[in-house]
Formats: sequence, C-alpha cells, structure tokens
Amino acid sequence: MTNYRKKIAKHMGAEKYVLACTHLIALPGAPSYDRDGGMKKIINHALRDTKILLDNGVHSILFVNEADIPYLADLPAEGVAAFATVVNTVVNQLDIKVPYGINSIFDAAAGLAVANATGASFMRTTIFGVYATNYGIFSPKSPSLFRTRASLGYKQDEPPYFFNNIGNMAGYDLSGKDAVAQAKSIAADDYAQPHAFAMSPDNLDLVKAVKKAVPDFPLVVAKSTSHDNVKQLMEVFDGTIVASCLHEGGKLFAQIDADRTKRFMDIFRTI
Amino acid sequence: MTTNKERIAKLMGSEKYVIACAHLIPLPGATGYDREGGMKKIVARALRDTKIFLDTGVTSIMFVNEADIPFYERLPIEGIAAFTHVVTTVVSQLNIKIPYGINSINDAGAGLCIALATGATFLRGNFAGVLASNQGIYTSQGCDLYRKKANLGMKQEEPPYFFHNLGNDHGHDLTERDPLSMAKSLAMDIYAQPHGWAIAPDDLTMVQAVKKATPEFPVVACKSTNHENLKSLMEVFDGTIVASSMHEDGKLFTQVDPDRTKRFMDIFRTVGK
Repeated sequence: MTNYRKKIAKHMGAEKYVLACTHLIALPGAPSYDRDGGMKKIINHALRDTKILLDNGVHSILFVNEADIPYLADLPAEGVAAFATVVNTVVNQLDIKVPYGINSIFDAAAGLAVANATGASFMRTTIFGVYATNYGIFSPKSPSLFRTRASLGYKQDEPPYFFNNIGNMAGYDLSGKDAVAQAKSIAADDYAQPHAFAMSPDNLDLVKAVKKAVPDFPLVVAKSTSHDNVKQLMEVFDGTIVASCLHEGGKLFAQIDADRTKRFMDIFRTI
Repeated sequence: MTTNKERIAKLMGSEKYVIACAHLIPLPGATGYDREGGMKKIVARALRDTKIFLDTGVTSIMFVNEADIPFYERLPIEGIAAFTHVVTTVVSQLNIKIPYGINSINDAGAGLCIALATGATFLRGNFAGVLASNQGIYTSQGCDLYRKKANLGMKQEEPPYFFHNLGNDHGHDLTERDPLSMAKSLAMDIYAQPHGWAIAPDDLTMVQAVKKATPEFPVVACKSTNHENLKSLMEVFDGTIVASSMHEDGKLFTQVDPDRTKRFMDIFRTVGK
C-alpha cells in the first residue's frame, strides 16, 4: 500500500503545502468567452496571475477553468485545446519549476488529457459518486478515466496525482455515503483510486474522522481558506487549495492581488 | 470583392505556394503511441522536422496527425490536447512567422479548435460529403463545424481558411458527386463554404475543369507531388501540399530529409521562370 501522504509531500517539497489556483477567464465555447479578446486575453490574464503566485513562493499552481460556468460534463474540444495552449504557454514563458496541476471542472478526462500533454503532475477531480447539481445530474465517468490513464502508460501510483473532492463538494451526493464512508470505500479500491482528498473545512470533526479512516491519503482544504483561518486549518489539513482570498476584494472571479498573496504566504510560512 | 484565391495568396505571401507537412508521430491514444517516449519524443520530432522546413524557406507549414492511423471520426481529447501542445511548443520555440495550418485527420472540427487555440490560419479536411473508407463511414461535420466557427467569433471570410479535399482521396464519396460537381455546389453556399480545394493530380483534365468552374477558389495538389513533376504541376495548381517527397527515401512515415527538402524548394523557386 502506497503512502500517498508522504509521496505527495515529497512531490510538493513540503509537509504542508499551498495549491494556488490560477483561475482562467472563460475559454472558447463558454458563455462568457470574449471573442474580441480571444486566446491572447486568456493567456495574458493567466500569465499575470501565475507570475504573482510564483513570486510569492507558492508550492504549486492549479490551473482551473473556473469561469466556464455553467460546466459541461464533457469539456468541448475548443475548451480542451485552449486549456492546453494556456498551460503550455504559461509554464514555458514563466519557466515554472514548482509542480502544477489541472482542474477541468466536471470533466476529469479532459483534465487528464491536458495534464498528459502539458506535463502537469496533479489534478483536482470529482470522479466518485453521483451528484445532483444546479445543472442537473452529474455522473463522473471514472471507469473510462482510469482505463484511459492506464492506456496512456501511467501506473496507479505515478503522477498525475488526483486530489478528489469528497463530501458533496460538487453537489448533493446521491450515492448516500458520507465523507468517511466514501473515503474508506475509495481507499479500498487500490487498482483505481485517487491519491488525495479535497474537503471543505466546515466540519472539522468530519475531516478528522476522514484522516483517521484513510491515514495514507493527504487531505487538502477545498474551500474557504483565508488569512485568518489558514494557521488553524493547517493543524488538521496537509495543504490547502486557495483562490478567492488571494483575489482583489477576496472575490471568486477577480484577478489576483499581489498584496493579499504576499500576506497569505507570509502567514503560511509561520506554520 | 476579394476572392478566396486572392485571400489565400495574400496569406501565403505569393501566388504559388508550398504547404509543407510536419507529420506528427502517433499522439497519445493512437495505436502507435510510444508510452516511453511520451510527449517529449513527439515534440522533439516535430521541432526537428519543422526546423528543416523553415531553414529551407517553405511558404507554410501544415501540422498533421498522419501517424494516428486508423483515424477516429472524432479525435479523442488526449489527442486534441497533445496536438495543441505540440503546435504551441513548435510555433513558440521556432518563432514561426510564416502561416501554419492544421490537418486533424479525420476530424476537421478538432482541427478548428486546435487552430483557434494555437493561432493556425488554415485547415485541411473533409468539410462536406460522406465517405466510405477503410475505417468505415466518415460523415463530414459541416453543420457543426461552420456553426462552431461562427460562434467562436470567426467570420466566414476570415481565417482559418479551409482546404477541402475534393475527389474521394480518403474514401468513396457516397454523395456520388465528382470533384467538379462537388466544387460547384460548395461554391454556391456562400454562408458556409470552404476557401480552397485540395485535389489529387491524377486527372489534370478534371483539375482544369474545377479551376474553370470555380475560378475564385485556389486549387492545391494534395498528393504525389515530387521533384520531377513539381514544375509542371505548378502550371496548373496554385500550390501544393507536400510530405513524402521531402522525407528520407521518399517514404510517408520517415522523418524529413534536409537535402530532399532543399532540392525541392530550389526547384520550386524556378517555377514560372
């Protein structure tokens, strides 16, 4: 049994780590895609935000198609191609040496395709359960995802590492399992399993129960991390995904604020 | 009124042009994909071949997933992401300033998406017809593809320009139209039409007939161009797609040969002189 907690800590270069989100503005095909700005605008925005994150010493970057809302269960080809170009260009132009990952929301298979092309070493995913969401029923296609992963030549315990959402992050889980039961059942499937869990910090008792149930899997905060709570959360979690609190006005769809990012990482370094 | 022939000549920077194919080795998901070599091997090969083309002064580059055979009707997403990654890397690392295009076999819709992401200005593909091929039936994605181009903010008369394969090169066209009849019918569809024709040089009388019937569309040779026939073909065609004759031993799946490429381009520069 692989200890992914140790393996991913080694990959991130720290026992506790920040997965800083570079939220892309809307990709081609999404309702908010800016036809006049085109790819250039998307790339410029991603370059700007990612540079601030790197300058402030985040442990890793997570590229997310956050503005493609409402999300299709299958990211269309124009989105897949655009996502790959943005990541390729940002990684090359900024000469990124820290680990970087892909969060293709609701479509982990597209995330895997982009990760495979661009050399990304982790993904955030929702690949277990069946969810009732604002946009209808979301049923992840993990059987085909794991088969594609294997057919591309990846072994289960190799990157890209999957940070899988547990505990109703994507919607109401119709499988009827709570986070502990879900984590335990996934951890038992050692031929096809994620490598880490992303979880909301709303119920810390539940988080601790998951940790205890699956000690070989790291747990990262999936939402709501802020300057005020990060120290306390890192006593429980192994790392945190972070977005809004690094943005101007602390807003989800604002661009990254250099000062907020610096203050966040200064606090993180005192942990 | 500017014609497609004039638009494409302007894009290419000359009346007669070479569209040199950078054939990619098999992409992830394809049968021949090298799992050990991975993306690095694919990118390295494309960089090598494309650099020779640029050093030899070809008019344009066309990136082709030639080795993904047998071809899906829809390129899987791992292929789309990889294709995009290769083109982005090659264009940026070699600082390509000449026009470059995409031939996503047999999925022109994927080609359009890759073109938008990478800034490619032309496509080769099957934009109309129904082909009975070695791999089954291919139905062109015309309806989706032209709508997608419009919805992504590109006008009909703007790049990416579409070179449509005329004349059953990839299979038997079940519409039973010959190249002339197909060209005439597509040329009438001004709201959604290709911008150029790619046609085999096997029947030059047919090529001449297509040219005469649709003079506003450029016609490029889509196969069999070589050092020997290049000059005579360029008397009829506006340009040529070229691959095998620039490869080592003139073979389809070998790498680009600098000497063959140089000799080809030396001959091309004497065209019309």
